[in-house]
Amino acid sequence: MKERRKPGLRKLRFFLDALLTLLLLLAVFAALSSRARGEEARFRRAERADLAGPSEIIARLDVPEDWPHVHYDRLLLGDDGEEIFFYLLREGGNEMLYRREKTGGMLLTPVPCWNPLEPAPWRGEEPCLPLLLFTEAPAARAEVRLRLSETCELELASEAGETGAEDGPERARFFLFRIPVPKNARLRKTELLRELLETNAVSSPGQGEFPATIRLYDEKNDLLETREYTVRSRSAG
Amino acid sequence: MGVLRFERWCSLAVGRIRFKPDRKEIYEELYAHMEDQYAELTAAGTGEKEAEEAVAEAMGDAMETARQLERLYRPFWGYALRVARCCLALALVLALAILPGYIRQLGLYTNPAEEFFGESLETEWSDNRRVWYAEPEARDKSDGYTFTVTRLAERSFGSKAEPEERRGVLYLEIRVFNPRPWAEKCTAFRELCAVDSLGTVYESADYTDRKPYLAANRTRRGLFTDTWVVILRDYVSQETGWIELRYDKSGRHLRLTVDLSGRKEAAA
Repeated sequence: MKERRKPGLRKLRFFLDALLTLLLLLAVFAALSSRARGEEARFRRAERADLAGPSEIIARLDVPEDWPHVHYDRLLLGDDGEEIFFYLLREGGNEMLYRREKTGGMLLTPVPCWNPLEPAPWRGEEPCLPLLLFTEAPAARAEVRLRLSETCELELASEAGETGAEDGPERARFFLFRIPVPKNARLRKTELLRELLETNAVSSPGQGEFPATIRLYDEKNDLLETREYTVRSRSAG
Repeated sequence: MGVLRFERWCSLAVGRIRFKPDRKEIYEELYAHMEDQYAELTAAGTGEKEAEEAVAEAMGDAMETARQLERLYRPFWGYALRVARCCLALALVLALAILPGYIRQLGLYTNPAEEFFGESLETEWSDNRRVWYAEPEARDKSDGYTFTVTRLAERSFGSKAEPEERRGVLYLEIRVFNPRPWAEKCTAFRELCAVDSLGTVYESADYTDRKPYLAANRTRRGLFTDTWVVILRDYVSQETGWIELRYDKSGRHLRLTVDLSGRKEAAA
């Protein structure tokens, strides 16, 4: 005859099953919560892991094709008053957080690369090198003059529509500059622009610094501020 | 055999059990029991009719049995167990669908203990090099992460006779614990700096390539705990009484102070 389980054991079996279910659901919850949904939530989580923030997100950029050796698709920029946070997002869910300290309320920096140890080739037909300027006081337009060597100075103007202010106020605290770097562009007979940019660690990993002058203008094109600034590249690491 | 009679008795006896699976199970059990009794009696030479009567008599009043079985087999726990089983099955399916990916994502790996600082734990001088090992318990918290310096090793170079000329490398193993398994792993080590009792500042290698500097590598990754090794290069080893790892950014002030005074005793 088939042996039947005692009805009194049913309670015990019920509680065991319930406990197992609870444990499994907890494990599933932990697994599901391990990745934040949405780029902002992920940015916030990365900030906390870097013992930083919360910062104000000042721009979200789709990375253009012609930016060299960046290897990411989206860039979120956060500002906590002291530092600028660069949150690099790549297709497939990978992300990375860089941070750069402001000097005197300003930061002028080459955009960070995904992997600073592996410089990648220049991309696009007319590749460019992007520079980002963050200011404390908002302005309508910005210009920078980079002194890359004793004989080489570059004058750059901020790009319209790239201030990070999406349909917002006319003034912004974030400006994008592009240094056009056509293939074999020569400053002089023996001086390649690319080499100069590499020497100054603008376009490649390493340590470098060079002086720059930053000028900020208002809506009427009146000069708001002129600042002497030293652009410092952070070493690879 | 009085099949119909036995069936009718069993149906009456289990008729008041409200949990259907129990009803079926007990019906089969009772019926089998009656069959066994009947077979035993007939085998012993009792006539079929008498055996049938004897079995029915031995089983007693079907209605009384039904009342007793009703009291014994309450339906609540039967249904509750069914629901619990269904939930468990669903949870299992969910877990099988989700957990393997999560475990892959953890990417657990470990480094053997010797790789902590790449030397055996000797305190003796050999070829002008000495290793000193200690297990301090410096601890601090920030943003839900608990940082603990679990062990340190110092490798110093130079002549034993001229201690002031010796330089060293200090390895600090730091465990970072966060009780929330879904929290991102702490990445703030790039931003650490260190100060020693002589006032020497060790900046992160991310910011400087001038010695002395500080570098950090993650050596072990786990569900709740990560292990990092912070390396301080080229510091004045003998006169340094303590060293403090600091993080002073974004309104946080993390401090991990490690006493190095035991080193001199070991050297003596």
